[in-house]
Amino acid sequence: MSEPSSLDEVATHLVPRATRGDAAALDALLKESRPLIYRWALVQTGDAADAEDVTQEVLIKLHGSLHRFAGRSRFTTWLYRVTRNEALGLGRRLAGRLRLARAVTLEAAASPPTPDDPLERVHAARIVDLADTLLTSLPGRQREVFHLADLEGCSMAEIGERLGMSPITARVHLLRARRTLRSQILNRWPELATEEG
Amino acid sequence: MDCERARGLLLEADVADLLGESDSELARHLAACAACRRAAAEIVDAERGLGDWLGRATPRLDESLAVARAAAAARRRAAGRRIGAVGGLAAAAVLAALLLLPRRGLPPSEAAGPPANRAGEGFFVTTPPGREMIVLHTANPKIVVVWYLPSRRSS
Repeated sequence: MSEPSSLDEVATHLVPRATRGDAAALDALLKESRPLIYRWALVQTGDAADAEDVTQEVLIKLHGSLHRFAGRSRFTTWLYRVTRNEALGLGRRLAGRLRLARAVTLEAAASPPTPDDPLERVHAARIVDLADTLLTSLPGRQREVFHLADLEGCSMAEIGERLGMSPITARVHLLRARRTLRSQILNRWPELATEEG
Repeated sequence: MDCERARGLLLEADVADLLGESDSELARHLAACAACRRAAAEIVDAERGLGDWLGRATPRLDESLAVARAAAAARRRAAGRRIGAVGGLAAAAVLAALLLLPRRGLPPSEAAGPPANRAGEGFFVTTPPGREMIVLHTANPKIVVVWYLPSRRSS
């Protein structure tokens, strides 16, 4: 997994070279950024195919507009905003048309491992179910906040800055998202939800 | 704290509390209650699995980088063509103005400015001070190219 912090570290070296016209540096930066852009786009759009479209557009924008990154914020903060704007733009474009019902192909987003161990298979299926809930049942804001806070380890202040909301509001979204997802986790094992020690 | 209250808190607690790494009331309950600890561990395990799942998420199209490069290049070319077209239009407009203005009753005046040159049938072009002029007639009698150069006499 390409973590935001490691991308920031790489970007420190690559961005100045890329903005000076070093094509190899720009290519390397795009390659390093791509998995993270896709993951953000997947959480933002909730759809694997849309996430691919967004990723493509953001890479094209990065190719042509990297000079707009002034370096005042972290590279990943800026990149997140670019990705988010693109995802929101895509959402608006799709909302204006008759959108074909498209099954969420989670397998397309992340090829699930197919372990030999039946217990492992059950665990993998459960994770895919959970991912389905994350991407299709949670409202967009909750999805984003949960992903940034609990899966990427961002602080509430940083999430508030990225999403344009107060840290308190971000915390409220996070707690709602956790409640939905964890209820599902515990409901899969009713004995865990009711068992008393 | 009883287990029922603990199960309610599990749904919103921070991971540090679920792992018993904090000094919260919930963490203390988890330290003492195996059943709630199992439920907390299940949550942590599932959320880590979700993080790993998302970490494996990659676009299906490996060629997206190449597509991005090609699209960016195409956009730059299109922008270049637009600039070229605008530049061409501007040049044509200047030329048209040069060709048409004298026809609209602006005869050259010896007293008012530099000498006028007869550039073609039915119109005159005024040479700016310090410049020389080359008039190029084209195959199309309606198109005449007027080219100003720095005057050799003034340099």
